[in-house]
Amino acid sequence: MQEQLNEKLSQLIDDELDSQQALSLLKTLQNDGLLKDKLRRYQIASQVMRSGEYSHVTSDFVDKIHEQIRQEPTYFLPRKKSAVNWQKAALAIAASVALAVVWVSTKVDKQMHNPFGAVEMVAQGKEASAEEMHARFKDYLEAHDNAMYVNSVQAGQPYARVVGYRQE
Amino acid sequence: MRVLKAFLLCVVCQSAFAEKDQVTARQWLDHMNRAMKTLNYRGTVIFMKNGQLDTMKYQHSVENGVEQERLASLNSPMREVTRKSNEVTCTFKETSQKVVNHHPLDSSFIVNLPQNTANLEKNYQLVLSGQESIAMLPTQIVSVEPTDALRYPRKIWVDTQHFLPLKVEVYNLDGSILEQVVFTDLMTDSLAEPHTGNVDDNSFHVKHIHTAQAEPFENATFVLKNWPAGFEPVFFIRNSIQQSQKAVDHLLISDGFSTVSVYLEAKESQGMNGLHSLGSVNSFSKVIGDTQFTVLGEVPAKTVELIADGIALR
Repeated sequence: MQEQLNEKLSQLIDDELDSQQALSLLKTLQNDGLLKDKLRRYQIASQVMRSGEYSHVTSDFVDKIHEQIRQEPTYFLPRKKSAVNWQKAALAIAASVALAVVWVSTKVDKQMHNPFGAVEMVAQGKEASAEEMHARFKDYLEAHDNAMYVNSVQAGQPYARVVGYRQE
Repeated sequence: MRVLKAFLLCVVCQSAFAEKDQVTARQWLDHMNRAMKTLNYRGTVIFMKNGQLDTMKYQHSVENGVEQERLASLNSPMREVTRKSNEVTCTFKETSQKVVNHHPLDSSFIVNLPQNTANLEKNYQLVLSGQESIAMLPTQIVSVEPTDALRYPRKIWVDTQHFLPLKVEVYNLDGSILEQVVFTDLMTDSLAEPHTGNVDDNSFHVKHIHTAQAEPFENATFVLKNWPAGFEPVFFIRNSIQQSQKAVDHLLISDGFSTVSVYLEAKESQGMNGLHSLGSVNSFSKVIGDTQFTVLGEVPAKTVELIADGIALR
């Protein structure tokens, strides 16, 4: 039984469970603190194996998101006829949150290491020469106008950090 | 007798106000141009460019007919920029570096203005668009609307007393603000205040860049077949680029408000192609044979592309 659960946890992280199985497992997770901890350990192991990096997500991360959702303002919009199945809705939210945790944990740490990741993505495929191009852009700007010295970004930081590049 | 004096005073004041009311947008720009070059003034100015806000102390003075501008940052990275005519010196206090840039064009840090506004209205519609107070001083707003989509619109708030620009906004073609320069305080001085630089030259590593002299335009090995109406060549120069020390041909054209540079250099192993953007500045690079061209300026992306399309080797 325990082995099966472990297997399912692993499959959940690898996104190999179908929606029914995933929902059933998440329901079990909600009532089992030990299993939750195990899921977290599996996530960390999976992340380290994939990226060689580790980002710590606190255990109350999900609760904080729940709290934030609870504090969202209520909008009094016209109610639709069909009654909402609150149990299903709560389960769906829990599933979304758990998936978000998995997704965020793989992204957050990378972004902390490289806050300008988005800029580099634009220049993907030409990464080696993109740095040169940014440096050259700075040189050209310096030769073009005095206004460059006014701007602290331009005057004080390498251009690789601030310039967007679009290849034709 | 008193009544007569009061009446005469009223007449003089009214005629003075009437004269100011009749000043056209172009005349406001001419007055501003003159004031910017001849008056001694100082204040605090905020630059908002590329999503970055920089607050600097500003000082303009004229000594023996030579214009000097001085900007000192109030926040990091600490630097002081001075312009004496066309020589710009930037002192980075934190890294003890000093860069002396010998730029052939002596343009103001606050706003670029055409020397001659006579032909300006062919490409820009100049409109007086209300009055506002900036830095607790009354200003006249002059809107500079381009007649094509190849340059940016802008607005200038001109101090009604001294004709100095207190605020400048440059807009994208969709109307969003690209750049802002605003004085938060400004005062004029009757005499030029002596420059009191507190930087010890000996402790700084000084680097001189762009020291070459301007050459005749005919010396350029390329020609521009397309450029927006109203742009004129300003200078052509053969310089070395700072990083690689490679020789680069540099042609600068301007319509008074906007300037565009065209750079030519030998192509490196991987040529550059495509568009770069940073705030209001766009550049477009292309390779012709073994030659790398880059067109860069404070104009919309399609303008640099248009000019780049029209480049041909002589």
